[in-house]
Amino acid sequence: MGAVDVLVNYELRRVLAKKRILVLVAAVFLTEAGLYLVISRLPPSLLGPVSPYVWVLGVLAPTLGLLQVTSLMVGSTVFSDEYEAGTSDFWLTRPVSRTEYYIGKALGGLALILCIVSAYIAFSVGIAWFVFGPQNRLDLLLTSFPASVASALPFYAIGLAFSEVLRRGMMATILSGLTFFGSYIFESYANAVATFSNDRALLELTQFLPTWGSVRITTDVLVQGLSGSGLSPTGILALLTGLSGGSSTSLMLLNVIAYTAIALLVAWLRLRTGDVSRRAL
Amino acid sequence: MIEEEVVRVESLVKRYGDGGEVGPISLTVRRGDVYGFVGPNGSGKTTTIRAMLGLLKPTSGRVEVFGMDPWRYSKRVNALLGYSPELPSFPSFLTARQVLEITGRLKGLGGSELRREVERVLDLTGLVNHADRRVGNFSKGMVQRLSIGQALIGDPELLVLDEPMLGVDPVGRVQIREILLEVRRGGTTILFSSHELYEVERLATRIGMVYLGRTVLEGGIDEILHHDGSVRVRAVTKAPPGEEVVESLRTMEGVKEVRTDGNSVTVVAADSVDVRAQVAERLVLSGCGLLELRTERPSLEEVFMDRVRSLGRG
Repeated sequence: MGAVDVLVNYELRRVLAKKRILVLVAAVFLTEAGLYLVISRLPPSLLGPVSPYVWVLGVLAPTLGLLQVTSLMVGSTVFSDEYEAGTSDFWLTRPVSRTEYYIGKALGGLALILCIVSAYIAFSVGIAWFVFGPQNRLDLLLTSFPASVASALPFYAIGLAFSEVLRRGMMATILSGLTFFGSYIFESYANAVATFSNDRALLELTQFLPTWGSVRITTDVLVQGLSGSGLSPTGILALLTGLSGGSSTSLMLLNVIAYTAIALLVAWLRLRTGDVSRRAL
Repeated sequence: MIEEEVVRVESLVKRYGDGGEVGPISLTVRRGDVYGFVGPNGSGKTTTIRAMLGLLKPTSGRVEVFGMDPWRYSKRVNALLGYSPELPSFPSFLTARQVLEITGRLKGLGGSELRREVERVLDLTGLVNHADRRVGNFSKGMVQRLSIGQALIGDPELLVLDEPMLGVDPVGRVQIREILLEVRRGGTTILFSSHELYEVERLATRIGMVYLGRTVLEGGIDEILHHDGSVRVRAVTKAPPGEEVVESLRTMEGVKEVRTDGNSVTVVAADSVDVRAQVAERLVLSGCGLLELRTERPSLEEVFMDRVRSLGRG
Protein backbone atom coordinates (compact mmCIF):
# COMPACT_ATOMS: atom_id res chain seq x y z
CA MET A 1 0.00 0.00 0.00
CA GLY A 2 1.63 3.25 -1.11
CA ALA A 3 1.73 6.54 0.75
CA VAL A 4 -0.91 8.08 -1.53
CA ASP A 5 -3.32 5.17 -0.91
CA VAL A 6 -2.85 5.48 2.85
CA LEU A 7 -3.50 9.22 2.68
CA VAL A 8 -6.59 8.94 0.43
CA ASN A 9 -8.07 6.37 2.81
CA TYR A 10 -7.24 8.53 5.83
CA GLU A 11 -8.63 11.70 4.24
CA LEU A 12 -11.97 10.06 3.45
CA ARG A 13 -12.30 8.94 7.06
CA ARG A 14 -11.18 12.32 8.40
CA VAL A 15 -13.75 14.30 6.42
CA LEU A 16 -16.52 11.85 7.23
CA ALA A 17 -15.70 12.34 10.92
CA LYS A 18 -16.48 16.06 10.61
CA LYS A 19 -20.02 16.93 11.63
CA ARG A 20 -20.36 20.12 9.59
CA ILE A 21 -19.54 18.27 6.38
CA LEU A 22 -22.09 15.58 7.22
CA VAL A 23 -24.69 18.28 7.89
CA LEU A 24 -24.04 19.79 4.45
CA VAL A 25 -24.28 16.41 2.75
CA ALA A 26 -27.57 15.83 4.56
CA ALA A 27 -28.71 19.27 3.33
CA VAL A 28 -28.03 18.19 -0.26
CA PHE A 29 -30.28 15.16 0.14
CA LEU A 30 -32.98 17.12 1.94
CA THR A 31 -32.97 19.65 -0.89
CA GLU A 32 -33.44 16.84 -3.39
CA ALA A 33 -36.33 15.37 -1.42
CA GLY A 34 -37.92 18.82 -0.98
CA LEU A 35 -37.56 19.58 -4.66
CA TYR A 36 -39.40 16.43 -5.68
CA LEU A 37 -42.06 17.06 -3.09
CA VAL A 38 -42.68 20.51 -4.61
CA ILE A 39 -42.69 19.20 -8.19
CA SER A 40 -45.19 16.50 -7.31
CA ARG A 41 -47.65 19.30 -6.47
CA LEU A 42 -47.64 20.58 -10.08
CA PRO A 43 -50.93 20.07 -11.97
CA PRO A 44 -50.90 16.88 -14.11
CA SER A 45 -51.37 18.90 -17.31
CA LEU A 46 -48.07 20.67 -16.68
CA LEU A 47 -46.25 17.77 -15.15
CA GLY A 48 -47.31 15.15 -17.71
CA PRO A 49 -44.94 15.99 -20.59
CA VAL A 50 -41.88 16.44 -18.34
CA SER A 51 -42.43 13.64 -15.83
CA PRO A 52 -40.14 11.17 -17.72
CA TYR A 53 -37.34 13.76 -17.41
CA VAL A 54 -37.81 14.87 -13.83
CA TRP A 55 -34.61 13.11 -12.77
CA VAL A 56 -32.75 15.91 -14.55
CA LEU A 57 -33.91 18.45 -11.98
CA GLY A 58 -32.48 16.40 -9.14
CA VAL A 59 -29.14 16.15 -10.92
CA LEU A 60 -29.11 19.87 -11.64
CA ALA A 61 -30.36 21.38 -8.40
CA PRO A 62 -27.23 20.85 -6.23
CA THR A 63 -24.94 22.18 -8.98
CA LEU A 64 -26.64 25.58 -8.74
CA GLY A 65 -24.87 26.32 -5.45
CA LEU A 66 -25.16 23.65 -2.81
CA LEU A 67 -22.56 21.37 -4.37
CA GLN A 68 -20.10 24.26 -4.67
CA VAL A 69 -20.59 25.21 -1.01
CA THR A 70 -20.17 21.59 0.11
CA SER A 71 -17.05 21.26 -2.02
CA LEU A 72 -15.45 24.44 -0.74
CA MET A 73 -16.12 23.31 2.82
CA VAL A 74 -14.48 19.96 2.13
CA GLY A 75 -11.55 21.69 0.43
CA SER A 76 -11.03 24.31 3.10
CA THR A 77 -10.37 21.68 5.78
CA VAL A 78 -8.00 19.47 3.79
CA PHE A 79 -4.73 21.03 4.94
CA SER A 80 -5.81 23.55 7.58
CA ASP A 81 -7.28 20.91 9.89
CA GLU A 82 -3.92 19.16 10.01
CA TYR A 83 -2.06 22.36 10.87
CA GLU A 84 -4.60 23.33 13.51
CA ALA A 85 -4.60 19.90 15.13
CA GLY A 86 -0.81 19.56 14.87
CA THR A 87 -1.16 16.38 12.81
CA SER A 88 0.68 17.83 9.79
CA ASP A 89 3.84 17.02 11.79
CA PHE A 90 2.65 13.43 12.06
CA TRP A 91 2.31 13.03 8.30
CA LEU A 92 5.33 15.01 7.18
CA THR A 93 7.70 13.19 9.51
CA ARG A 94 6.76 9.81 8.00
CA PRO A 95 8.47 8.54 4.84
CA VAL A 96 6.04 10.63 2.78
CA SER A 97 7.20 13.28 0.32
CA ARG A 98 5.35 16.58 0.22
CA THR A 99 4.16 15.68 -3.27
CA GLU A 100 2.65 12.42 -2.03
CA TYR A 101 1.09 14.21 0.93
CA TYR A 102 -0.44 16.81 -1.37
CA ILE A 103 -1.73 14.30 -3.91
CA GLY A 104 -3.06 11.91 -1.26
CA LYS A 105 -4.91 14.62 0.66
CA ALA A 106 -6.28 16.32 -2.46
CA LEU A 107 -7.41 13.01 -3.97
CA GLY A 108 -9.02 12.00 -0.69
CA GLY A 109 -11.20 15.11 -0.67
CA LEU A 110 -12.00 14.61 -4.34
CA ALA A 111 -12.98 11.00 -3.69
CA LEU A 112 -15.48 12.21 -1.13
CA ILE A 113 -16.95 14.68 -3.62
CA LEU A 114 -17.27 11.88 -6.18
CA CYS A 115 -19.11 9.83 -3.57
CA ILE A 116 -21.45 12.72 -2.77
CA VAL A 117 -22.22 13.42 -6.44
CA SER A 118 -22.76 9.70 -7.17
CA ALA A 119 -25.03 9.33 -4.16
CA TYR A 120 -27.28 12.31 -4.87
CA ILE A 121 -27.57 11.42 -8.56
CA ALA A 122 -28.57 7.85 -7.65
CA PHE A 123 -30.98 9.24 -5.06
CA SER A 124 -32.43 11.65 -7.60
CA VAL A 125 -32.97 9.03 -10.30
CA GLY A 126 -34.39 6.59 -7.77
CA ILE A 127 -36.88 9.01 -6.25
CA ALA A 128 -37.92 10.37 -9.68
CA TRP A 129 -38.57 6.83 -10.93
CA PHE A 130 -40.48 5.92 -7.78
CA VAL A 131 -42.68 9.06 -7.68
CA PHE A 132 -43.05 10.03 -11.35
CA GLY A 133 -42.73 6.67 -13.12
CA PRO A 134 -40.11 5.40 -15.62
CA GLN A 135 -37.50 7.98 -16.56
CA ASN A 136 -36.16 8.66 -20.06
CA ARG A 137 -32.77 9.65 -21.46
CA LEU A 138 -30.79 8.21 -18.56
CA ASP A 139 -27.94 7.88 -21.05
CA LEU A 140 -27.34 11.57 -20.33
CA LEU A 141 -25.94 10.53 -16.95
CA LEU A 142 -22.76 9.66 -18.82
CA THR A 143 -22.17 13.34 -19.49
CA SER A 144 -24.05 14.95 -16.62
CA PHE A 145 -22.10 13.02 -13.96
CA PRO A 146 -18.68 14.30 -15.10
CA ALA A 147 -20.25 17.73 -15.61
CA SER A 148 -21.49 17.71 -12.00
CA VAL A 149 -18.04 16.74 -10.79
CA ALA A 150 -16.60 19.57 -12.90
CA SER A 151 -19.10 21.92 -11.22
CA ALA A 152 -17.62 21.02 -7.86
CA LEU A 153 -13.96 21.25 -8.84
CA PRO A 154 -13.18 25.01 -8.92
CA PHE A 155 -14.55 25.68 -5.44
CA TYR A 156 -13.07 22.52 -4.01
CA ALA A 157 -9.69 23.68 -5.34
CA ILE A 158 -10.23 27.27 -4.15
CA GLY A 159 -11.10 25.99 -0.65
CA LEU A 160 -8.04 23.75 -0.72
CA ALA A 161 -5.77 26.65 -1.76
CA PHE A 162 -7.07 28.89 1.04
CA SER A 163 -6.69 25.99 3.44
CA GLU A 164 -2.98 25.64 2.65
CA VAL A 165 -2.21 29.35 2.27
CA LEU A 166 -4.01 30.48 5.44
CA ARG A 167 -3.67 27.25 7.44
CA ARG A 168 -6.79 28.17 9.36
CA GLY A 169 -9.96 26.23 8.55
CA MET A 170 -12.49 28.87 9.54
CA MET A 171 -10.70 31.62 7.62
CA ALA A 172 -10.34 29.36 4.58
CA THR A 173 -14.06 28.52 4.66
CA ILE A 174 -15.06 32.17 5.04
CA LEU A 175 -12.81 33.41 2.23
CA SER A 176 -13.68 30.66 -0.23
CA GLY A 177 -17.36 31.14 0.66
CA LEU A 178 -17.01 34.86 0.03
CA THR A 179 -15.40 34.10 -3.31
CA PHE A 180 -18.33 31.90 -4.28
CA PHE A 181 -21.15 34.16 -3.11
CA GLY A 182 -19.40 37.34 -4.30
CA SER A 183 -18.91 35.88 -7.75
CA TYR A 184 -22.46 34.47 -7.83
CA ILE A 185 -24.06 37.78 -6.86
CA PHE A 186 -21.88 39.82 -9.18
CA GLU A 187 -22.67 37.47 -12.06
CA SER A 188 -26.44 37.69 -11.42
CA TYR A 189 -26.42 41.49 -11.35
CA ALA A 190 -24.10 41.73 -14.35
CA ASN A 191 -26.36 39.38 -16.33
CA ALA A 192 -29.45 41.40 -15.49
CA VAL A 193 -27.82 44.73 -16.36
CA ALA A 194 -26.29 43.33 -19.56
CA THR A 195 -29.70 41.99 -20.65
CA PHE A 196 -31.40 45.33 -20.10
CA SER A 197 -28.66 47.40 -21.68
CA ASN A 198 -27.64 44.84 -24.30
CA ASP A 199 -24.07 45.19 -23.05
CA ARG A 200 -22.09 42.34 -24.65
CA ALA A 201 -18.85 43.38 -22.97
CA LEU A 202 -20.39 42.98 -19.52
CA LEU A 203 -21.74 39.56 -20.44
CA GLU A 204 -18.32 38.51 -21.66
CA LEU A 205 -16.76 39.81 -18.48
CA THR A 206 -18.90 37.42 -16.41
CA GLN A 207 -17.27 34.52 -18.24
CA PHE A 208 -14.11 35.20 -16.25
CA LEU A 209 -15.85 34.71 -12.90
CA PRO A 210 -15.24 31.44 -11.04
CA THR A 211 -18.97 30.70 -10.76
CA TRP A 212 -19.61 31.11 -14.49
CA GLY A 213 -18.36 27.70 -15.58
CA SER A 214 -18.99 25.93 -12.30
CA VAL A 215 -22.68 26.80 -11.97
CA ARG A 216 -23.61 26.52 -15.66
CA ILE A 217 -21.74 23.55 -17.01
CA THR A 218 -24.13 20.79 -15.83
CA THR A 219 -27.17 22.74 -17.01
CA ASP A 220 -25.50 23.37 -20.33
CA VAL A 221 -24.61 19.71 -20.85
CA LEU A 222 -28.16 18.58 -19.99
CA VAL A 223 -29.88 21.27 -22.03
CA GLN A 224 -27.82 20.31 -25.06
CA GLY A 225 -28.47 16.61 -24.45
CA LEU A 226 -32.22 17.06 -24.07
CA SER A 227 -32.67 19.47 -26.97
CA GLY A 228 -32.97 16.52 -29.35
CA SER A 229 -35.72 14.84 -27.32
CA GLY A 230 -38.61 16.27 -29.35
CA LEU A 231 -40.26 17.43 -26.14
CA SER A 232 -37.87 20.36 -25.85
CA PRO A 233 -37.93 20.61 -22.08
CA THR A 234 -35.13 23.15 -22.25
CA GLY A 235 -37.59 25.98 -21.70
CA ILE A 236 -38.83 24.36 -18.50
CA LEU A 237 -35.27 23.73 -17.39
CA ALA A 238 -34.28 27.30 -18.09
CA LEU A 239 -37.30 28.52 -16.19
CA LEU A 240 -36.60 26.32 -13.18
CA THR A 241 -32.85 26.92 -13.02
CA GLY A 242 -32.73 30.54 -14.08
CA LEU A 243 -30.05 29.66 -16.59
CA SER A 244 -30.16 29.30 -20.30
CA GLY A 245 -28.19 27.30 -22.81
CA GLY A 246 -26.37 28.70 -25.74
CA SER A 247 -22.93 29.42 -24.25
CA SER A 248 -20.08 27.27 -25.33
CA THR A 249 -19.54 24.19 -23.17
CA SER A 250 -15.88 24.21 -24.05
CA LEU A 251 -15.53 27.76 -22.71
CA MET A 252 -17.20 26.69 -19.48
CA LEU A 253 -14.89 23.73 -19.23
CA LEU A 254 -11.94 26.04 -19.83
CA ASN A 255 -13.16 28.31 -17.02
CA VAL A 256 -13.50 25.31 -14.69
CA ILE A 257 -10.08 23.94 -15.61
CA ALA A 258 -8.39 27.33 -15.29
CA TYR A 259 -9.73 28.07 -11.79
CA THR A 260 -9.11 24.52 -10.62
CA ALA A 261 -5.57 24.42 -11.98
CA ILE A 262 -4.58 27.85 -10.65
CA ALA A 263 -5.93 27.10 -7.17
CA LEU A 264 -4.27 23.68 -7.05
CA LEU A 265 -0.99 25.21 -8.19
CA VAL A 266 -1.11 27.92 -5.50
CA ALA A 267 -1.72 25.26 -2.83
CA TRP A 268 1.06 23.08 -4.17
CA LEU A 269 3.62 25.90 -4.32
CA ARG A 270 2.79 26.98 -0.78
CA LEU A 271 3.11 23.44 0.56
CA ARG A 272 6.28 22.75 -1.41
CA THR A 273 8.14 25.87 -0.37
CA GLY A 274 6.74 26.79 3.06
CA ASP A 275 7.86 25.69 6.49
CA VAL A 276 5.51 23.37 8.33
CA SER A 277 4.18 25.49 11.14
CA ARG A 278 3.71 24.10 14.63
CA ARG A 279 0.31 23.74 16.20
CA ALA A 280 -0.86 27.03 17.69
CA LEU A 281 -0.55 26.81 21.48
CA MET B 1 38.61 5.35 13.67
CA ILE B 2 36.24 8.20 12.94
CA GLU B 3 32.85 7.52 14.47
CA GLU B 4 30.00 7.74 11.99
CA GLU B 5 28.13 11.00 12.15
CA VAL B 6 24.38 10.56 12.03
CA VAL B 7 23.46 14.23 12.41
CA ARG B 8 25.55 17.27 11.63
CA VAL B 9 24.21 20.76 12.19
CA GLU B 10 26.60 23.57 11.34
CA SER B 11 25.86 27.19 12.21
CA LEU B 12 22.13 26.74 11.66
CA VAL B 13 20.31 30.07 11.63
CA LYS B 14 16.55 30.35 11.24
CA ARG B 15 14.86 33.70 10.84
CA TYR B 16 11.09 33.76 11.29
CA GLY B 17 8.60 36.04 9.62
CA ASP B 18 7.81 37.81 12.89
CA GLY B 19 11.43 38.92 13.27
CA GLY B 20 12.46 36.16 15.67
CA GLU B 21 15.81 34.55 15.04
CA VAL B 22 17.50 31.41 16.29
CA GLY B 23 21.14 30.45 15.86
CA PRO B 24 23.87 29.90 15.09
CA ILE B 25 23.41 26.38 16.43
CA SER B 26 25.83 23.53 15.82
CA LEU B 27 25.72 19.94 16.97
CA THR B 28 27.02 16.55 15.98
CA VAL B 29 25.36 13.25 16.85
CA ARG B 30 27.35 10.07 16.26
CA ARG B 31 26.03 6.55 15.84
CA GLY B 32 25.21 5.05 19.24
CA ASP B 33 25.03 8.41 21.04
CA VAL B 34 22.25 9.26 23.43
CA TYR B 35 22.41 12.97 22.78
CA GLY B 36 20.76 15.29 25.28
CA PHE B 37 19.92 18.60 23.66
CA VAL B 38 19.38 21.03 26.51
CA GLY B 39 18.46 24.63 27.02
CA PRO B 40 15.66 26.76 28.37
CA ASN B 41 12.36 27.25 26.55
CA GLY B 42 12.73 29.27 23.38
CA SER B 43 16.44 28.60 23.02
CA GLY B 44 16.17 26.95 19.60
CA LYS B 45 15.98 23.23 20.37
CA THR B 46 12.71 22.60 18.56
CA THR B 47 13.74 24.77 15.61
CA THR B 48 16.90 22.68 15.22
CA ILE B 49 14.96 19.43 15.44
CA ARG B 50 12.36 20.60 12.92
CA ALA B 51 15.13 21.57 10.51
CA MET B 52 16.59 18.07 10.95
CA LEU B 53 13.26 16.55 9.94
CA GLY B 54 12.80 18.72 6.86
CA LEU B 55 9.89 20.65 8.36
CA LEU B 56 11.79 23.95 8.30
CA LYS B 57 14.14 25.38 5.73
CA PRO B 58 17.21 26.92 7.40
CA THR B 59 17.87 30.59 6.62
CA SER B 60 21.58 29.79 6.61
CA GLY B 61 23.93 27.09 7.80
CA ARG B 62 23.95 23.40 7.03
CA VAL B 63 21.90 20.48 8.30
CA GLU B 64 22.70 16.90 7.36
CA VAL B 65 21.03 13.74 8.60
CA PHE B 66 22.60 10.48 7.42
CA GLY B 67 24.58 12.67 5.02
CA MET B 68 21.43 14.04 3.37
CA ASP B 69 19.84 17.47 3.34
CA PRO B 70 16.50 16.83 5.09
CA TRP B 71 14.77 19.74 3.35
CA ARG B 72 15.42 18.15 -0.04
CA TYR B 73 15.28 14.49 0.95
CA SER B 74 12.75 14.47 3.77
CA LYS B 75 11.17 11.19 2.66
CA ARG B 76 14.48 9.33 2.68
CA VAL B 77 15.58 10.91 5.96
CA ASN B 78 12.27 10.18 7.68
CA ALA B 79 12.42 6.55 6.51
CA LEU B 80 15.51 6.13 8.72
CA LEU B 81 14.32 7.90 11.84
CA GLY B 82 11.48 7.96 14.31
CA TYR B 83 10.24 11.24 15.73
CA SER B 84 8.14 12.18 18.70
CA PRO B 85 7.20 15.89 18.77
CA GLU B 86 7.08 18.27 21.72
CA LEU B 87 3.27 18.33 21.66
CA PRO B 88 2.28 15.01 20.13
CA SER B 89 -1.00 15.08 18.31
CA PHE B 90 -2.74 12.30 16.43
CA PRO B 91 -5.98 12.25 14.47
CA SER B 92 -8.46 11.89 17.31
CA PHE B 93 -10.74 9.48 15.44
CA LEU B 94 -7.97 6.89 15.02
CA THR B 95 -7.18 4.21 17.58
CA ALA B 96 -3.65 3.69 18.93
CA ARG B 97 -3.37 0.54 16.84
CA GLN B 98 -4.40 2.42 13.67
CA VAL B 99 -1.80 5.13 14.33
CA LEU B 100 0.89 2.48 14.65
CA GLU B 101 -0.37 0.57 11.59
CA ILE B 102 -0.36 3.70 9.42
CA THR B 103 3.20 4.48 10.50
CA GLY B 104 4.25 0.88 9.87
CA ARG B 105 2.67 0.81 6.41
CA LEU B 106 4.38 4.05 5.46
CA LYS B 107 7.67 2.52 6.62
CA GLY B 108 7.14 -0.36 4.24
CA LEU B 109 5.84 -2.98 6.68
CA GLY B 110 2.88 -5.17 5.85
CA GLY B 111 1.04 -8.38 6.70
CA SER B 112 2.22 -10.42 9.66
CA GLU B 113 5.42 -8.40 9.98
CA LEU B 114 3.36 -5.24 10.55
CA ARG B 115 1.08 -6.99 13.06
CA ARG B 116 4.08 -8.30 15.03
CA GLU B 117 5.74 -4.88 15.05
CA VAL B 118 2.57 -3.15 16.25
CA GLU B 119 2.17 -5.70 19.06
CA ARG B 120 5.83 -5.30 20.05
CA VAL B 121 5.48 -1.52 20.33
CA LEU B 122 2.14 -1.72 22.14
CA ASP B 123 3.77 -4.06 24.64
CA LEU B 124 6.88 -1.88 25.04
CA THR B 125 4.83 1.25 25.66
CA GLY B 126 2.31 -0.46 27.94
CA LEU B 127 -0.62 0.37 25.66
CA VAL B 128 -1.78 -3.18 24.92
CA ASN B 129 -5.01 -2.72 26.87
CA HIS B 130 -5.72 0.61 25.17
CA ALA B 131 -4.79 -0.40 21.62
CA ASP B 132 -8.33 -0.17 20.25
CA ARG B 133 -9.37 2.99 22.05
CA ARG B 134 -9.60 6.25 20.14
CA VAL B 135 -6.59 8.51 20.69
CA GLY B 136 -8.94 11.42 21.35
CA ASN B 137 -9.83 9.76 24.66
CA PHE B 138 -6.23 9.24 25.78
CA SER B 139 -4.59 10.99 28.75
CA LYS B 140 -1.54 13.15 28.13
CA GLY B 141 0.79 10.45 29.44
CA MET B 142 -0.76 7.84 27.16
CA VAL B 143 -0.47 10.16 24.15
CA GLN B 144 3.19 10.72 25.02
CA ARG B 145 3.82 6.97 25.24
CA LEU B 146 1.99 6.41 21.95
CA SER B 147 4.11 9.16 20.43
CA ILE B 148 7.29 7.43 21.50
CA GLY B 149 5.82 4.11 20.34
CA GLN B 150 5.04 5.31 16.83
CA ALA B 151 8.57 6.71 16.64
CA LEU B 152 9.91 3.23 17.42
CA ILE B 153 7.94 1.46 14.68
CA GLY B 154 10.20 -0.17 12.13
CA ASP B 155 13.27 -0.07 14.42
CA PRO B 156 14.61 3.33 13.28
CA GLU B 157 18.33 4.04 13.17
CA LEU B 158 17.82 7.38 14.88
CA LEU B 159 15.18 8.29 17.44
CA VAL B 160 14.42 12.00 17.77
CA LEU B 161 12.39 13.00 20.81
CA ASP B 162 11.43 16.61 21.46
CA GLU B 163 10.74 17.12 25.18
CA PRO B 164 9.54 13.54 25.80
CA MET B 165 8.77 14.25 29.47
CA LEU B 166 6.86 17.48 28.93
CA GLY B 167 3.69 17.65 31.01
CA VAL B 168 3.88 13.99 32.04
CA ASP B 169 3.15 13.00 35.66
CA PRO B 170 5.83 11.25 37.77
CA VAL B 171 4.50 7.75 37.00
CA GLY B 172 4.45 8.54 33.28
CA ARG B 173 7.99 9.89 33.52
CA VAL B 174 9.26 6.67 35.03
CA GLN B 175 7.52 4.66 32.30
CA ILE B 176 8.99 6.84 29.55
CA ARG B 177 12.44 6.71 31.12
CA GLU B 178 12.25 2.91 31.22
CA ILE B 179 11.25 2.79 27.54
CA LEU B 180 14.19 5.00 26.61
CA LEU B 181 16.63 2.96 28.69
CA GLU B 182 15.37 -0.18 26.94
CA VAL B 183 15.85 1.45 23.54
CA ARG B 184 19.29 2.69 24.56
CA ARG B 185 20.29 -0.86 25.51
CA GLY B 186 19.36 -1.90 21.97
CA GLY B 187 22.02 0.48 20.62
CA THR B 188 19.67 2.90 18.84
CA THR B 189 21.04 6.40 18.40
CA ILE B 190 18.83 8.83 20.32
CA LEU B 191 18.61 12.60 20.22
CA PHE B 192 16.28 14.09 22.79
CA SER B 193 15.70 17.65 23.82
CA SER B 194 14.77 18.77 27.28
CA HIS B 195 15.01 21.68 29.62
CA GLU B 196 14.86 19.25 32.54
CA LEU B 197 18.52 18.71 33.20
CA TYR B 198 18.07 15.99 35.80
CA GLU B 199 16.48 13.71 33.20
CA VAL B 200 19.17 14.51 30.67
CA GLU B 201 21.93 13.72 33.14
CA ARG B 202 20.40 10.29 33.79
CA LEU B 203 20.01 9.30 30.15
CA ALA B 204 22.49 11.11 27.92
CA THR B 205 26.01 10.11 26.89
CA ARG B 206 26.61 13.36 25.02
CA ILE B 207 25.15 16.78 25.54
CA GLY B 208 24.68 19.96 23.54
CA MET B 209 23.63 23.11 25.35
CA VAL B 210 21.87 26.00 23.69
CA TYR B 211 21.14 29.33 25.29
CA LEU B 212 19.59 32.44 23.77
CA GLY B 213 19.43 30.75 20.40
CA ARG B 214 23.04 29.60 20.15
CA THR B 215 25.17 26.61 21.09
CA VAL B 216 27.18 27.33 24.22
CA LEU B 217 28.61 23.91 25.03
CA GLU B 218 28.82 20.47 23.45
CA GLY B 219 30.59 17.26 24.40
CA GLY B 220 30.50 13.95 26.27
CA ILE B 221 28.66 14.02 29.58
CA ASP B 222 31.83 13.43 31.64
CA GLU B 223 33.69 16.06 29.69
CA ILE B 224 30.87 18.55 30.23
CA LEU B 225 30.51 17.84 33.93
CA HIS B 226 34.23 18.51 34.43
CA HIS B 227 34.17 21.39 32.04
CA ASP B 228 35.00 24.03 34.65
CA GLY B 229 38.00 22.06 36.05
CA SER B 230 36.52 22.02 39.54
CA VAL B 231 35.83 19.37 42.13
CA ARG B 232 33.19 19.61 44.85
CA VAL B 233 33.80 18.28 48.35
CA ARG B 234 30.63 18.02 50.37
CA ALA B 235 30.68 17.54 54.15
CA VAL B 236 27.80 16.87 56.53
CA THR B 237 28.36 17.95 60.14
CA LYS B 238 26.59 17.38 63.47
CA ALA B 239 26.18 21.10 64.08
CA PRO B 240 26.16 23.94 61.56
CA PRO B 241 29.76 25.04 60.86
CA GLY B 242 30.64 28.43 62.35
CA GLU B 243 31.64 31.48 60.35
CA GLU B 244 35.25 31.12 61.52
CA VAL B 245 35.76 27.63 60.06
CA VAL B 246 33.95 28.55 56.86
CA GLU B 247 36.31 31.49 56.45
CA SER B 248 39.32 29.24 57.09
CA LEU B 249 38.08 26.86 54.36
CA ARG B 250 37.82 29.79 51.94
CA THR B 251 41.46 30.70 52.47
CA MET B 252 42.74 27.20 51.60
CA GLU B 253 44.89 26.88 48.50
CA GLY B 254 42.88 26.05 45.34
CA VAL B 255 39.47 26.73 46.90
CA LYS B 256 37.17 28.73 44.62
CA GLU B 257 33.98 28.84 46.61
CA VAL B 258 32.47 27.62 49.91
CA ARG B 259 28.70 27.19 50.26
CA THR B 260 26.85 26.33 53.45
CA ASP B 261 23.35 25.03 53.90
CA GLY B 262 22.43 24.15 57.51
CA ASN B 263 24.60 21.21 58.54
CA SER B 264 26.11 20.85 55.10
CA VAL B 265 29.12 22.61 53.60
CA THR B 266 30.29 22.37 49.98
CA VAL B 267 33.83 23.34 49.01
CA VAL B 268 34.44 23.98 45.32
CA ALA B 269 38.13 23.64 44.50
CA ALA B 270 40.38 23.28 41.48
CA ASP B 271 40.54 19.59 40.56
CA SER B 272 44.36 19.80 40.52
CA VAL B 273 44.33 20.10 44.32
CA ASP B 274 43.05 17.42 46.72
CA VAL B 275 41.50 19.37 49.58
CA ARG B 276 39.59 16.52 51.24
CA ALA B 277 42.06 15.89 54.11
CA GLN B 278 42.34 19.59 54.95
CA VAL B 279 38.57 20.12 54.86
CA ALA B 280 38.06 17.13 57.20
CA GLU B 281 40.77 18.30 59.57
CA ARG B 282 39.47 21.87 59.86
CA LEU B 283 35.86 20.77 60.40
CA VAL B 284 36.87 18.24 63.10
CA LEU B 285 39.08 20.82 64.86
CA SER B 286 36.28 23.40 64.77
CA GLY B 287 34.17 21.07 66.92
CA CYS B 288 31.10 20.94 64.67
CA GLY B 289 31.46 17.15 64.30
CA LEU B 290 32.08 15.56 60.91
CA LEU B 291 29.53 12.90 59.93
CA GLU B 292 30.20 12.44 56.22
CA LEU B 293 32.58 13.67 53.56
CA ARG B 294 32.40 12.91 49.85
CA THR B 295 33.54 14.22 46.51
CA GLU B 296 30.79 15.19 44.11
CA ARG B 297 30.85 16.15 40.52
CA PRO B 298 28.81 19.23 39.60
CA SER B 299 25.31 18.58 38.42
CA LEU B 300 24.40 19.42 34.86
CA GLU B 301 22.23 22.17 36.23
CA GLU B 302 25.21 23.75 38.02
CA VAL B 303 27.37 23.50 34.91
CA PHE B 304 24.62 25.03 32.83
CA MET B 305 24.03 27.86 35.27
CA ASP B 306 27.79 28.51 35.54
CA ARG B 307 27.93 28.74 31.77
CA VAL B 308 24.94 31.07 31.65
CA ARG B 309 26.50 33.29 34.35
CA SER B 310 29.82 33.41 32.51
CA LEU B 311 28.02 34.40 29.31
CA GLY B 312 26.22 37.10 31.25
CA ARG B 313 29.55 38.41 32.53
CA GLY B 314 30.98 38.29 28.99
